[in-house]
Amino acid sequence: MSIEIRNVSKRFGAFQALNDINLDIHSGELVALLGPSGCGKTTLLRIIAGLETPDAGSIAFHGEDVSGHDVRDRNVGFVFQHYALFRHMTVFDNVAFGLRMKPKAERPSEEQIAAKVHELLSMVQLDWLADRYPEQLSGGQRQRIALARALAVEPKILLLDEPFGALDAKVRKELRRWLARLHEEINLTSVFVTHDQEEAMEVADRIVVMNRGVIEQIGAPGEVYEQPASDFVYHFLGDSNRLHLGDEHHILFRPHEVSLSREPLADHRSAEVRDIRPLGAITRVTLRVDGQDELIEAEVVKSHASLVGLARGERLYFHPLPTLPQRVAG
Amino acid sequence: MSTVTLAAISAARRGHALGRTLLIAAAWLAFALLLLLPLYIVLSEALKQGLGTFFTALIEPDALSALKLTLIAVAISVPLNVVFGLAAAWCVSKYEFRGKSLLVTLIDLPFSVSPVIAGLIYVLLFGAQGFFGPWLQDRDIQIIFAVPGIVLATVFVTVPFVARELIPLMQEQGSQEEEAARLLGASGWQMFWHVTLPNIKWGLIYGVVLCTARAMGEFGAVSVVSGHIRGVTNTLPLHVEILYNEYNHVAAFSVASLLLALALCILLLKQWSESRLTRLKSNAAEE
Repeated sequence: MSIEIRNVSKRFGAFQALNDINLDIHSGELVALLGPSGCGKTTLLRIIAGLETPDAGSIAFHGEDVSGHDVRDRNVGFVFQHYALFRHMTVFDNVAFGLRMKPKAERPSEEQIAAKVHELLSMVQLDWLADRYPEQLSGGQRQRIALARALAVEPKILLLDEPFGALDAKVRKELRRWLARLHEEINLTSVFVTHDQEEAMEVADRIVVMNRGVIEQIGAPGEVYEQPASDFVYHFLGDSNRLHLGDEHHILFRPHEVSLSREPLADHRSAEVRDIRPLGAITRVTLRVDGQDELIEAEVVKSHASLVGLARGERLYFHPLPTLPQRVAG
Repeated sequence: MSTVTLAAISAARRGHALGRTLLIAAAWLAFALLLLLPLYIVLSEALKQGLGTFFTALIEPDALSALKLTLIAVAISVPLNVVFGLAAAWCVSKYEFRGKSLLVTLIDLPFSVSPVIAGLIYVLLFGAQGFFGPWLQDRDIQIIFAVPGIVLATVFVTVPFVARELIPLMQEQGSQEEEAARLLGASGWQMFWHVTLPNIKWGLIYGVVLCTARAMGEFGAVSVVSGHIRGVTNTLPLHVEILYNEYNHVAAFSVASLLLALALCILLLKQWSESRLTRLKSNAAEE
């Protein structure tokens, strides 16, 4: 089911949370709303769910305007950042909740509910926790239960608010790969909010970069990274270096967009090695360029010739290779 | 509580066991002096002339009618308090609106106003010379010096109990579970019954216990509006006072021990329901 967002604005007192947002999310797509905190991404997600009412504009699901529909009639699954599991119910009762709340005529029998709940719990690989209470689960387990609970009512759209935000780094990584696979299997139109560009790059089909209540850019992960539409997108989507060229001119480039050498080469600038950090497949070298206080970070493969026997305080010669000529700014 | 226990453990480990023992002894001593001793005096005075006199004082018609009136006041004011407390706590914790802090302050008003003044307000409103007095007299409705006045005064002084317990609890819990319930298709009533109520159960029970205790024991406000008509508008505390002023000490302390017994019952009820509900929960977890 597709989502069409038209001219949506929302204000909280003096704070303009969203300013004339237009966005189309296609059926079956996994879209990330990416931006710093306070950019309006969570507000937009809550407006899609019906938890907030926009001051202006409309939301349509598959062409049908749902702006006037109550939360419970929108049939969206929603996963909260802090899970919002019902603390006094077992895992089983949490997942069964949506089915049990259906009007009598549509409500499945308890046997059908039990079958459905166990099916969902198996899907999230936590069937063995059915009788536990939320407080007895780890963060990653709670997150998966919250997902199973949201999917129980067979929503047409799945919305996730910072789904991995409260988890530690390793669990987060596992869970987001798992979510991407799950999305491939069930192929539900999904929107998730994140402030972590790596997460958005790894999971989403398309990324919507937001800042201060407006959309800065919409595109596939490669697109927003390679062809950022604004300085904000460029800086938000990855680390960047600034190299002054004199006359108030400077050039921006990513840490990996660099040529390093132990010997002086044409166009290469001399720099002092301040720090060497092996990060697995790549090594990060921090450089201090002559005539500039701002440090430069260069990332090269760990087997790079320039790294052999390199120590702090030695000299390296580097040349930026920005892929984006338009990022040369005055 | 866990920090207190931890602190106690580490203090003991550091060899401060003596200090701990002294503190606990002091707590027990204070408890004995301030609570057990008066309890003992009430009971010993009541039983001074044997069980016969004790029970005669209790089954005397005036005492029974006072007990009945006290229970009526409790039975009306506690449910009203629950409804009001829930509504107020819901408003304050789930919505943002103008005058919210004013509302929270007003809920506390009965705590800060002397109960005697509360009683006087009702006399000035509903008494024969009061604001609504003539209107009520024309329709032959009596509020002051009658049961409705006593109920009104009790409701007024107990208003904050449930709301005060629930507001911080519900503010701390936030609205996310309610939102989750709505998203899963629950109606407003289903959401309240299946999600909100179980979450605030303990605060609610505690508020009800406090409210019941206060409603039974209220003296000042009720005293002003009651008129002290024996067998008609006397509650238990008022009856105790009358007996005491008549130098009928044995009867006064007998009725007082009845009040005391009611209070202990309420405490036990709270303890019992609490342990039972926690046991239910842990049983379910082990199955």
